[in-house]
Amino acid sequence: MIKKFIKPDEGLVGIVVTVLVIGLVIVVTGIVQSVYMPQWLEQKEAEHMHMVSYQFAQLKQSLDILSVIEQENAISIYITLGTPEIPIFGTGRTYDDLNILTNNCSIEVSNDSSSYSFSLGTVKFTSQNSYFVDQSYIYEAGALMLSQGSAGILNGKPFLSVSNFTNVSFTIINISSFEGKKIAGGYGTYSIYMEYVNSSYYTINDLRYINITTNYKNAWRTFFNSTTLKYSLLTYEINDIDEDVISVEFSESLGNLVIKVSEISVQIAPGWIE
Amino acid sequence: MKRSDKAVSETIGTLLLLGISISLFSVIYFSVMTIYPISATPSVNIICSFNDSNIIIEHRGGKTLDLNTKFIVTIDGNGEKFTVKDYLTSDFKANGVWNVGEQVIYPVGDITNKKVSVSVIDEHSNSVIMMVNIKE
Repeated sequence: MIKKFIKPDEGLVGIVVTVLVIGLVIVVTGIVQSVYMPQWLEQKEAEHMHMVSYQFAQLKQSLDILSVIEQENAISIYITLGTPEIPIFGTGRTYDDLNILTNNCSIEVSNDSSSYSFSLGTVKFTSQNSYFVDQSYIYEAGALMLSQGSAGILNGKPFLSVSNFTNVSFTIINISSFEGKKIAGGYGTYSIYMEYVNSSYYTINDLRYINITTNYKNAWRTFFNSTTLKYSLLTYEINDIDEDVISVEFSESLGNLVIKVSEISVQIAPGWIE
Repeated sequence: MKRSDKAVSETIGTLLLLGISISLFSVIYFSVMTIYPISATPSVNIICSFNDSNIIIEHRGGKTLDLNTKFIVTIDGNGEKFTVKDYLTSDFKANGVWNVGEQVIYPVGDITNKKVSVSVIDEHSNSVIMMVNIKE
């Protein structure tokens, strides 16, 4: 009888230890999920933004090359949208957006009597990060910008040169697209197909104003404060004339401005339209 | 009587094993629960340049940093410590953080033929987030 009474106790330690170990595993998993996982995910999202930064540098390089060679050629580059999830835990996947925006920026140049106005298309990447700060990369009129919250910086300059001290050459790149080929969103690697269309040249004498309507005034201000204009003989002032308009006013009507506008057709999403 | 003794021995053995198991579990549990989570090094892009006798350190995207973020400028082996708020342009101090596009401009003077290095240290994670040697 005593033996029968003792027998059930033999497994008790094993059961209790098993329950405790399971509890311990749950606690450790909980700590990893709540403390360490956010740090890993933030790091992964930051790495993804670095990759997008590099890919947008390639985008600018390709568009600049197409504008320079002025031949009917096409180049494709690839943009990675979204961050993959962490293996085993299966969490952390994010989804991003890539858009071609038409008439999102405009540039107006004028002297005292005449003016030219160009309405331009842009390429915009918008992240939807869960842990890392949200960023947007924008290719606008030949400039590459990074926008983060309300702040923005210039990552790549458009072509602007000053010759004979006061004559200015300015290349603007206009992005055009087709309906249905302007938006890609989600997760994965998407190609951007860029095809040169044409270039037009405009000359304006006695340049007085360059007005840019943009969402990224800080970046354009950095551009106009850059060395090309700063160390020329041009004297100018940069003013905010509206919430989204930045104006460069040349105090003397010095020199001429030659503007080259290259139109490049850009398509995202598969199924190319010829 | 002998049979009874055996039962006592087994009961004591079981209690001891249970005690050891619970003690071990408690030690591991409290060890894990009291692990201080290590602050990760902030993901931030910082670029350093030299222009007109000034060292310019610019935030180029990523996490915003505290105004108490330290930077150390070492000239020919002599290091000096500063915080970002000491040399951040006054317009940029208003938001209380070091954000993208904001510059720290440190007037270093003539550094011709001098060995100059700059380090930026995040206090929160106690980690070096940028280190660069400048040659003029």
